[in-house]
Order: sequence, then structure tokens, then C-alpha cells
Amino acid sequence: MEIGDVPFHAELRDGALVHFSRGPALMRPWRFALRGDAQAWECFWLPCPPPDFHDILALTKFKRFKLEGDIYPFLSNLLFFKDLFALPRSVGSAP
Amino acid sequence: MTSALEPIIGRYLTLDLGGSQHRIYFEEAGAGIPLLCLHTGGADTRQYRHLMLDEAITSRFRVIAFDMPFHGKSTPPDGWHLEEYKLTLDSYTQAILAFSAALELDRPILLGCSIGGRIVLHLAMSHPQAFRAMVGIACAVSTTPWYDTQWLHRPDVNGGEICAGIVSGLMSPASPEARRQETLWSYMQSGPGVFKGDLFFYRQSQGLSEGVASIDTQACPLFLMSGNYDFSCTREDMTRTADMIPGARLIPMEGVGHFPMSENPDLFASYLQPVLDEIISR
Repeated sequence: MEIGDVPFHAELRDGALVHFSRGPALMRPWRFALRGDAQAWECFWLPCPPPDFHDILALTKFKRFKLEGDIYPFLSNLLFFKDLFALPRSVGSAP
Repeated sequence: MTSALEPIIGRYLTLDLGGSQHRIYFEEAGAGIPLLCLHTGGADTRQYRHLMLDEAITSRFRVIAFDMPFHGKSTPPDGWHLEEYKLTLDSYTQAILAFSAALELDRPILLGCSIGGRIVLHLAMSHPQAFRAMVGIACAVSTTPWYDTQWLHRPDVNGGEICAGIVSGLMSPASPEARRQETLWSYMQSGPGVFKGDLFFYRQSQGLSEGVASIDTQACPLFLMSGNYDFSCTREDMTRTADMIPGARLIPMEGVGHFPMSENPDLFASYLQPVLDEIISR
């Protein structure tokens, strides 16, 4: 994922986050990427986000986020990934 | 432990639709002016259970909702497995008019959400005399597609979970979590390919723009309700639609999304009550 121009790399196995690191990580393979500007992520992570910033697919529709690569894992586990990406909402601050 | 018997009554009705016998499930509660409610695509009448338990409404209205063919507890017709399910303007129109006629409803108020709202616009054009008033929720003449509906029905993706995942973001994050999850549950229970088949109608009927200007809101008042967290059918889409129809009233709802009646029933009722009051007072 990218927050503005800062890349992060997450590795998931059996539904668990086994690795998460701030990039850049050179030549590291990935399946799909979610990239958005920092302001959009900040709004998305507010405890109660405003309309159009409250859902990843809203943000992709309105072109604040970009979903790239092989989106099969993302869509075939859509509810899981929506919850995962929204986790910072519950801790009250961005990573 | 407490128990509570609800006043909602569920029954079955056999209808001849398109030459096939359909066993249609419906629920109702209350007495008075019939209020016929149409559920969203890929869901069923349970979306209206809160409305049917709202005594401020059921004391004046007979609230009725039916599971569309292939939805909820409505049994698909014999031979359903031989062809792909696709809802069309004709089949949807026929189902609503046949159901209303079978129950001998006298000019009901028609209320529908999403695809149920889109058909409200069509019926406002084609059959205004059959209804006392109409309420369309999340029902713009056209919307911008934001995902490929092929994902909704494919063998390598769980159909229930992808349908729920697609629509989960259409609700307000402030809506009660239990109601949000309950709304998703009916999407998870939908038959394979049914939501996708419903959206065939939704996308087929895009671009109503020329016809809606002819809607006679004097003959049949039309109210358009729009939740600000609905990014699929946006406030802009609904405003544009209301502006095209002389006399149509836009009811902006703050704090709900695409499923106001099930994601936040109390808040929805606070917006619907004045609309119903106005319809009665006419």
C-alpha cells in the first residue's frame, strides 16, 4: 500500500498479518496494491469518516485510491480486506 | 429470557408471471392505506421489518412487502435452473402490478429502494393511476458504474460474501453495527447470480432521462430520498433526477447510505414520517 509517496509492504498468511514494513523495498514482488494520497487515507481512518471517504471502493470510484495488480485476492476476501485496511480507525491514529 | 410475538404476518401467494407459476412470499403489518415496499436487488423483504414494527406507521398504514421472484422465500418457478436469471423492466413491472392486483390493493403508496426505486420511476411514468403516491430511495435516472458485476457470480469467489462485500460500504459508518451486519446477512443469503441478474435491470434501465420529465406529480406525488453516505447513487445523481421531474420532492437524508430502512431504521423513520404525513394530507 502507499500513503502518499510512502510505500508499505504487508504479507498475509492464513488470514494473519505476518509481516508489515515501511518501504521502499526494492524488487519485492506483490500481488495487489492500494495507493492513495495521504489526505484521503487520513479521512478514511477518522473514527467516523465523511461521505465518499468511508469505503475503499468509494475512494476508488472517486479516484482518490487506486487498486492495482492482481485484484483477485482482494475481491475474493473483500470483507476481510475492508476490515483490515480500516483497522487504524479503531486505534485512533494513522500508522 | 423474554419473548415477543411480532405483529408481522407472512403468507404465500401463487402468481402467474410470464407464463410461469411463482409462489411468492409476502409479509404485512398494520391497517389503513396500503404502503407497498420494494426491497433492493439481491435482498428480500426483511429490509422492511423495522418499518412493519413501527406503530407510528402501522397505526395508519398497511405495510406490505413481497420477496421478488427468486428472492428470499419466494420459490423460483419450475425450470429455473435451465436459464440465467435476469430481471427486466417488463418482468419487474409485471410482478409488482400482478401482486398489487392479487391482493386487491386500492391505489397503494409505492415505496422502493435502489432497483426498487428505479422501478418506481418507471411506474410513475407508465402507471401513475395505479398508485396514490410514490417514494423512490436511491433511484437516480442514471449512476456511474463503479465495479464489474461479473465478480458477483463466478465459481472461484463466494457469492454471498462478495455481494455483501460490494454493498457493505454503501452504508453509513455511523449506522448501528448490528443493523449494518443484518443488512449484509440478507445479501449473503441471496441465490447464486440473483444480485447480478437484478443489476441487469438496473443497468438496462440507465438513461431514463428523457422519459422522467413526463412524470405527472400532480396525478401521483413523487418523493425522492437520498442518503449522503450512498456513493453508488450519489446525492448529485438524485438531485439531478429531482431537477428533471417537475414537482418531484428531494428528501436529503444525512447519516445514512443506500439501505436506510434496514441500516438505521429509526433515522429513516424520522425522514419518512413527514413524507407519509404529507401524502395523507393531500
